[in-house]
Amino acid sequence: MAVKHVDLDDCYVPKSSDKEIVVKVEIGDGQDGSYSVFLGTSFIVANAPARLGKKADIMGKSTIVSAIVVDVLQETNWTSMTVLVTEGSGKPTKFGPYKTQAETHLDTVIYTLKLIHQ
Amino acid sequence: MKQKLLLTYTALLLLAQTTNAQEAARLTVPSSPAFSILNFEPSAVMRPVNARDLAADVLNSFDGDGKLRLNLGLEVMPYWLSSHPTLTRSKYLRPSTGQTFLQSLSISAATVKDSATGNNRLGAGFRFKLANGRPVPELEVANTELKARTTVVSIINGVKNVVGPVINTRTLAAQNVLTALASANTSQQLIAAVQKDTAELISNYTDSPSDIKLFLDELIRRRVESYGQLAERVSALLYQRKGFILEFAGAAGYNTTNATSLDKTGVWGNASYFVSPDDLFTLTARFMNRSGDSSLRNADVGIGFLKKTERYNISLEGMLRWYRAEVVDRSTVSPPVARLEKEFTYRLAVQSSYIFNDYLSINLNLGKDFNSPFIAGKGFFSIFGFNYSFFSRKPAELKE
Repeated sequence: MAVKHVDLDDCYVPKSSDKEIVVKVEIGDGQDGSYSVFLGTSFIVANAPARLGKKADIMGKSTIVSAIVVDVLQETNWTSMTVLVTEGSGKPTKFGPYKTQAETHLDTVIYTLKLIHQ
Repeated sequence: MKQKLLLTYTALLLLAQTTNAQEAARLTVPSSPAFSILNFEPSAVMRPVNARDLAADVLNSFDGDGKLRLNLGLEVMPYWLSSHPTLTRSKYLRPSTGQTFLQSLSISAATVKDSATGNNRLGAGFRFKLANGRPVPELEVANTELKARTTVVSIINGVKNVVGPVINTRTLAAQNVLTALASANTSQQLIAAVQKDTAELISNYTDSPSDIKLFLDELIRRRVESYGQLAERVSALLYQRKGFILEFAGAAGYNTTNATSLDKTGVWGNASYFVSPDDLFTLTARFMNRSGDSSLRNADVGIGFLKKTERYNISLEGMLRWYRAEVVDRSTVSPPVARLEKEFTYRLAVQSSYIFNDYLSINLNLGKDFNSPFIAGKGFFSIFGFNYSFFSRKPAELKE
């Protein structure tokens, strides 16, 4: 039951100023996982699309996506996470997929993505 | 003491006979067709889980002279060698027919030196499913519980990553964790567990940013440890399926001593209906062909029922076989004569076992086996056996 950390950084600049920004997380490789989203130091939501607000609400802050995947599949040790940021009904901006293999079966992989908004 | 040893020996003998009788007509697709076609379980089986491991394993299968090493096995599931970020758990659990094929396809290979003939043999096989039933309801329950626990870890990790000028003490960090857990509708039981860990750990650290992070790392470690058994249960439940399962396999065995020649082939098909993971009906068809001095070709079709409970197992099976055998009769006074036999035969069997306790179980097998072109006799069998273990099967509990 070892823990593997995958720490990631990226940057997201909102395209519009009047549309709501929503962050979604997808877990791949047949695994299941849970996640939570923070904006600045505030917890926003867990295991559901995170509504961050509009451009003015997020500029100068960072969004933290913290995702946990436990490798329960016997066929593979692969785990992966993709983060999708949507503004209004526009096409989502994709971050990832980020992927890594758990060292051994039943290990926990912790993905942390820090998205800077500037 | 002598009596005890004799008792154990007799039990082992009966158990071995039972096992042979059961393996004679197993109504399933072999888990590793390449090993099955060679009647051999290699001492070393390589199971690569990524392309790099596969390349290394293939290279390691050859010796310095470029010859295949013997007594080696390789099992690989090609689909799983690479990552599939778009494969969600939902798609994995309820795949389409094409996806079921991809997810289940496995390829196996093995090499062996035949101890009877001294020949080197190579087996290669494949196995796949086209339908894989549906998940058991217990999985949903266990998975929801695991998700609740991993959500706690995701929140602690999230707070760890926002430690800085605002969250600058251990107490503040712990408060943030608890507030976020409450906002995420975490159960009182899980919140209480985090509170207990916090109370135990908080005095071991200072309020420096690096120490606050170490404190939260330790909280994460404890929470991860707490769901170990649950993760194991989820992993086991993923492979318990109900409903219709359709599976196929094929394998070929080669003699590689001099020139490579095909000497055995087999094709299996199996349709099962799992009423529950321990309660199933099954229909199996297979075709086997063996060439050589004595060639044998047989086609089998069989049906079976298996029920398992904590105390007893029972299986009923019936199999029809059509075979064609060419047997070379040798004599000292005349040249060898090839005898051709074509026959229909069948197998009927009832197998049952009852477990009395951790030490004692009995089993009973009754039935009629296939007639064989190589062995005379009617093939009726009735085997009663018991298994007594002198030592407990439970692992010893170690004191701290």
